[in-house]
Amino acid sequence: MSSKQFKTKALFTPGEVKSLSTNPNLCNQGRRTFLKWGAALSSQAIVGGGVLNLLTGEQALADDHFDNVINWNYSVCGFCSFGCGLEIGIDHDGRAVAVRGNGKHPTNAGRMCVKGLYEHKILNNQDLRVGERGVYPMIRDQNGEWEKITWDQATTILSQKIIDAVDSPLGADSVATYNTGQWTLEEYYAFGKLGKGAIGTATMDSNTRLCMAAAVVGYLTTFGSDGPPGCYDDIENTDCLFLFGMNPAEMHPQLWRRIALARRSRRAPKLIVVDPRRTQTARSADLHLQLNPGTNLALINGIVQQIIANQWTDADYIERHTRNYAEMAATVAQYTPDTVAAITGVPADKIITAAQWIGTSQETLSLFLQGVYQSMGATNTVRMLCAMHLIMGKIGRPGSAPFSITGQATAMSNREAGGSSALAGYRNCYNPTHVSELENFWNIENGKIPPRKPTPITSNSDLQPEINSHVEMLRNGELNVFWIQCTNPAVTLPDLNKLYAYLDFDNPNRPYVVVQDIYDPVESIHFADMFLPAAMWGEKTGVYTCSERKVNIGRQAVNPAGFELRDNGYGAYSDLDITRMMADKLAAMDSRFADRNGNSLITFETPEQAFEEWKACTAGTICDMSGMSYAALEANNGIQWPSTVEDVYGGRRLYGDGRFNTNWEDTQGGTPDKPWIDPDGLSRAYLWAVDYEQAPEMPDSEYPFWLITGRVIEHFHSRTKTKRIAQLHQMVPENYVEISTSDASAMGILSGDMVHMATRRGEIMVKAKVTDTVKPGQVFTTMHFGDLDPDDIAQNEGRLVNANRLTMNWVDPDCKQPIYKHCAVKLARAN
Amino acid sequence: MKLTRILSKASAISLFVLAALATHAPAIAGKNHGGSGSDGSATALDPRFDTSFAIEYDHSCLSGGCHETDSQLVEEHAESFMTHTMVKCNACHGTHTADTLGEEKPNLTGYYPGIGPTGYLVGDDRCIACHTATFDDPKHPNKTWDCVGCHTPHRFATEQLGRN
Ligand code: SF4
Repeated sequence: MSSKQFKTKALFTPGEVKSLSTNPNLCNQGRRTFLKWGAALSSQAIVGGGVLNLLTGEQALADDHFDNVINWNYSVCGFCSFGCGLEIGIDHDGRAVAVRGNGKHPTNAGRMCVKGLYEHKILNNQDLRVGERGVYPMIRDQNGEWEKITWDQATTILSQKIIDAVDSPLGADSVATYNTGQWTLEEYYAFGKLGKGAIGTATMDSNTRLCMAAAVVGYLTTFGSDGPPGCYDDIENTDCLFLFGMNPAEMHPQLWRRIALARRSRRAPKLIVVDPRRTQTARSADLHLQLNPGTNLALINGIVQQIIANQWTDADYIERHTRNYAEMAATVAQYTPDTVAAITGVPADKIITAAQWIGTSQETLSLFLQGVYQSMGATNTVRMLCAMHLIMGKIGRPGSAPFSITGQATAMSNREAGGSSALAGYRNCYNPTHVSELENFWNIENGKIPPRKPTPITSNSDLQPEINSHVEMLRNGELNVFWIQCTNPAVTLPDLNKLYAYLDFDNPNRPYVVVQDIYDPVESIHFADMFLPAAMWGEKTGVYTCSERKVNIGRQAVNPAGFELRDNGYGAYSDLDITRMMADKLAAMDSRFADRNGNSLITFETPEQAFEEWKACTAGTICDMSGMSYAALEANNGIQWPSTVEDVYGGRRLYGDGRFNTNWEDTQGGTPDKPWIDPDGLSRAYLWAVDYEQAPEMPDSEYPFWLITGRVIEHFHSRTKTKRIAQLHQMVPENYVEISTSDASAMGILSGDMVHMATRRGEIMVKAKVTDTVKPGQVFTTMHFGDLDPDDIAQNEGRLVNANRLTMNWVDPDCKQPIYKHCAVKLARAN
Repeated sequence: MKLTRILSKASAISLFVLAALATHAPAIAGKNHGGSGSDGSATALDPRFDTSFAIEYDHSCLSGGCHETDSQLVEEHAESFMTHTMVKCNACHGTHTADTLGEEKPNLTGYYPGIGPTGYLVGDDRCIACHTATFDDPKHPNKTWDCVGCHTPHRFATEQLGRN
């Protein structure tokens, strides 16, 4: 039955409807309109199994129930890294119309958070709140307007740009790539092959740098390699949960549900939460250590000091499985509870209690995330969390681990497959044996893979002259091509005003910028010369590695957007397909980009073929996946690595035998002289001795508040997907700033007032939320909101709202992750 | 089936929303946790199961001048284990309240209270979306697909939050 059959006489005048559609907030409407709306509600028409929208005269679509679903498609959530198993409901027309949890999946037992529940609404244009799917490759014409081109044209143009860049005096490193934590593993593997094996650039990074680089480097320099040692089952097997800088109640809600259930169990583990804010997680803790921003390392050193002072250590484990204990113990000895209390603002008795619970519990599980990674002392804090577990021997057994939780759905896959800064299969770019092994496996000339660590995405030489980055190369005109894929740096990089200047079309040194993404508009497209439309979650098959090293498969449920345009050379393609098209075109245009036999490096046609090649690439490595298959992944609801043919399910926990990957032939990173490499070849972990340093920017008389940034449950990253979903957007449609009750009172600010915020780098204006979630002297704003897209400009009435106009481009010296979590800010009620 | 329920509940829902929209009450500060049981008796307060954040950050649903006037709704929501695990209003209802900051700002996107944002009742499928295993569980006593027949709406759990 067509919805057009239900046209009725409109209740509102055309002018009122227009006003309502552009400003749908009832309280902003006139009284007469308000009353009409009330009348509309009381007289709503019920027709044909749906409710008639009296404003538009159209019948509402029934998309919140399963009546239209004819098939459920096995998949995994594409948002956060927890890896919830789910199924995508498909209707008669082949459209995704529903999502439901996979009740048999051990990770989430069918439960999903609000993002997963509405995930199907990111796929189809008719479900999108704003924008539309990109289906045409495009380049800018001479007037800066977009012009449609075919895929053949697009790959030819981009290939020529890359060839020209490689031939330029700046060489292959002038081709910069910047991708994501949201591709499939096969896509990372393929792109790593293209970038390192064909193009030979070392200017490769991904947004995982912003997300968990500290965890990678902390693990690598302690255990010799990346890879969280624990698994989710540790939650139900522990006696003490130590949540450091993480808020799973909002960021990983199904992880939080398992913590909450464990807390209701007979074992009832204690919960310690380290967070400057009183989040839902912190409010539920037995002990909330509400520390000052930027003081993580002092706090963890203080806890380790107490563990050693009270002999809650395992001397035998330390002796047999670690190195450098004496120096570490001597360093933390000065971090007494009183000293640490003075730095962190956490009372000494709480520090002592925390250490006691951690030290005396039979099993202790530490979980940590952005509050660690995006703060001062990031890598060193991870190192000390690992050290804390090592000296207690609480690692590699049920209920005990230093467990880094990741952010994005496949960030772990990028770490494993080497789609950006890493080398495939946890190989070490400084180990010639590892590099030549990979070159031979890929059948490329020896010496093609750059034997050095790839460049990180961002830094600022005014603050840290010793660090180079994509952004510094942009600034210095050292990039010829900047290929951005499945990420949105125009919202998420720090100190954005500078980045915008470097990318400005008036900048004669700007490179050729390519944005490969799923929607139009997306903020980064503002700066693009070329747009490549990509398929997304649900539209392609591939595997996802979640935080606990579990590899799961997401099956394609629907055709990619614009599938019907393919015969004409258009339509969105999977990132795997795009990489293959580029590899084929480059090899065809220039034999330097081909393998030893003159063929394209990407020989696989399907994701499954790519996975089979990847499995062979990992055989014998730390992240061995050779025991997996697509069928086995689905049958088992995921399998953890390492998984070998002989021991398919052997990857539950790492380091149960106390042997780490610190021998030179094993380690994933560093030259032979690095401290974590065991000179005796005994595979011992390395204990770092590291001191707290004050953050590079502290509140002062001019900028008197700490600015903390973070996230809300409804949105994911730069809202590229979540702002399209009405049910998420409407809950949190705009950015805001949390101000403590006392500070708000002193400044005469009420909830809803407009507040002007400024740092040394920029300013924004957002509404106030007065709350005691933050302490006096601290304010909090979210990192989600861009201010370049038309819908956001309209929503914010042209105000700048992006928190990254304020944040500081200062990166951790070890892992090069920016300290988004804290800087100094001033604020005032706006007129 | 669903149409029947829409028809039977629509008028009551309409009256409810008018009453709710017409009332401007001050924002609640947020509850710590469950205050009373379904029988009105006091429950043991267990700080491990805080729901105050979820309610405060339900933005204008329960703390912005609309549904906080429905004390039963707020009490039940505050007692819910699902609230503690951050299942907020929009997980089932979508949302019709567009404001982050506690102001009363319902929009007109086609949402009707008690009905999903597309104009449909919050039916059992919203529950089943997460509780698929329950419906496959032979031990689950009821197969009538009428979740709220046994589980109090907005409290959901038959076992109250904090009671072990
Ligand atoms: S908890 Fe994470 S993986 Fe699970 S549904 Fe939510 S966003 Fe998806």
